Amino acid sequence: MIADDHAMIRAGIRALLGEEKEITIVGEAATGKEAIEKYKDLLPNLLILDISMPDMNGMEVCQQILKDDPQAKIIILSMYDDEEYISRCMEYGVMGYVIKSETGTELAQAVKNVLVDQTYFSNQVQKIIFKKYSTNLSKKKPKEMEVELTKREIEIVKLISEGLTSKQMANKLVISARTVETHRANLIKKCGVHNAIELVKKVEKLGLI
Amino acid sequence: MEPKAVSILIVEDSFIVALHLKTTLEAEGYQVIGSCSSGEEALLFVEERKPQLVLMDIMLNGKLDGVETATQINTKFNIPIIYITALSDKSTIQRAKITQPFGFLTKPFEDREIFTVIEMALYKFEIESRLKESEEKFFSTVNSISDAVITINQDFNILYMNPSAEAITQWPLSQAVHQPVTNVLNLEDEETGDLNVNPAQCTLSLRSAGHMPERLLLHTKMGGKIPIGESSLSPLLNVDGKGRGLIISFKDMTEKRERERMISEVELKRTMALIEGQETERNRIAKDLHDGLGQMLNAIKMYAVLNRATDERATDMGKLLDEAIQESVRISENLMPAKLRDFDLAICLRSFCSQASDTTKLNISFEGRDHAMAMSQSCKVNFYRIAQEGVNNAVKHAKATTINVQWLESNHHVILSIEDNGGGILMEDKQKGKNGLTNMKDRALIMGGTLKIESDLKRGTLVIVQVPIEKIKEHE
Repeated sequence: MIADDHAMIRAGIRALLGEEKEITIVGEAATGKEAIEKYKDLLPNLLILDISMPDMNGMEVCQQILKDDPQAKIIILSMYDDEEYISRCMEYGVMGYVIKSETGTELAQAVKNVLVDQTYFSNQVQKIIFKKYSTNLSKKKPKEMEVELTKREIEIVKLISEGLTSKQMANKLVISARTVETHRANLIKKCGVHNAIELVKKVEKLGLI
Repeated sequence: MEPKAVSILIVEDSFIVALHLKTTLEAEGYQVIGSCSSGEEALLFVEERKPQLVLMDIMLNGKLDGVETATQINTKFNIPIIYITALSDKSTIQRAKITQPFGFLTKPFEDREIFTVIEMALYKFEIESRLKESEEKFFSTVNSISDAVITINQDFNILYMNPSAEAITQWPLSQAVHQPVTNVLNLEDEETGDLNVNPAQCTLSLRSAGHMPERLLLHTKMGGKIPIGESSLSPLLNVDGKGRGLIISFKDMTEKRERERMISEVELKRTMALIEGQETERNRIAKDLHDGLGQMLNAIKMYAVLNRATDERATDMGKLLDEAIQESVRISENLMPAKLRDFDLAICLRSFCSQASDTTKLNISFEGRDHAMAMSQSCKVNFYRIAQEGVNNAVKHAKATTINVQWLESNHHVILSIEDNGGGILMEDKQKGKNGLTNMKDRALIMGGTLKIESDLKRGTLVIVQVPIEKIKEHE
């Protein structure tokens, strides 16, 4: 079954897959809601799903269908090549993700793989996922060191450790007391502490002041 | 001395004295229009004939003596009175003095003495009348102007308040007079919230005029708050030029502020409509590009693949199609990132920072929780655009190498801050609203929040957008 809001694309997919003997297109849907309805009726072996659709986006459709039928096999065919979309869809449990501009052999291969319970993520998608993991790996540092403070924030922590009030700090740094408060709040959240004393201790421990 | 046709009434119970006075005065050219022997008679006469001067014997037979008669005349008419007396009885003289007579003639008197006392009295009366008149003119002016006027002495105690000042402060003059000025002029600095602003911070010895700080709130007697402004402080000078107090004048700015507020509200609504229109248009074009043109190109490519066109020209065409698809996606994303429709703000900001970091090769980081609170699409777009603009400025104008975008949700506010280590923004640019600063500020205002920019050469630039949580919920 195919769900895409563009008739032209649906026709294109039909034509592309029509050459494969083991594939039959049993239905089409033009909106997210229609896709959910038709899926329930037709219970196809596989759903090729677009993300950008009028009433309900593909990710929501995915979530809905997989909630009702955890065995559902879904391949996303979308123009979006952002890591966020791919990650979210994988999280929801799609078995394949192909970017529209790849088409051709990639889509046919994806359908074949997923039908035999294998996952398929196209070349380009794999590259994007790989990039995300590699940057995550390179960024991975000991947990404590993940906190990075800006120059202003370090100034503020120093002054807090000297026992200055927000107003005194504001006067000293020639900024408004409200800005000092913002920095304070930011710092406490950032460092995952609860109050100024813990904050100073933590920042000292990190060797930032 | 030139004879004057001044009309005079003589009140004297001694017929001889009265006659003597009458002849003497008439010989000198005065016009004696009557002669009464009792207080009651005199009151009737004055009522009827309105003499210009009264010569009044203190000791009169009858129910009213001279002093009592004079008192009654004084309350009703403005006629100078000269007492005639043979007494040196101190208590009577004292009693007579209270009626503010214009002179005393002590019996026995000489003719010349009479004329001198009369002329002095007339002169004094004229001067006093003139003074009174100018005073009245002055007070009626002060009283009728719409500005509030308060005069205080050197000890900062109130001497006088005009009706406008009474109305604004809600203090009646009778209660306010002699009070320390700060009791009545209870001021708050609107910007800092400081209380008890001293209205007379310029010293009293200053001869030049000054004014109070702008943006003051006056706490009225009933506990209300009224914005005042356009004030002036001028010293109250003595004849010898020494300051003996201060004249404070100010205006009730309630209406003006209200007008200003309405104007800025209308202005804000216009900006809001403008920005919203712009975003809607961008969104439309982005969607058209992405869903229309982009999909068409994709479809074309599918057919091209289907036709198995394998010759070189077909491969080139495939490449061109790929580029066209990518270009349409790129333009669409620049206009309105599709992510803003499908993901929450924190994810969009993080993604934006990492993309910006990739393209600029600068250290652009995002700090914040994994998910942002639910908010309307327009709020999301506004925050996103502010972050875009801020990062853009940091890269392009401030030449920063490290940029930190933070998203913070506290109990009361959401705060977006963009901090860089660049060269700062010039003050004049900040004032002129260059570099899209106005747009950032407008977007913050539209959301019911504030935008603050701190910038210096040492620390770089910090942009803070703060919006109250309830405003975000309102928009939703």
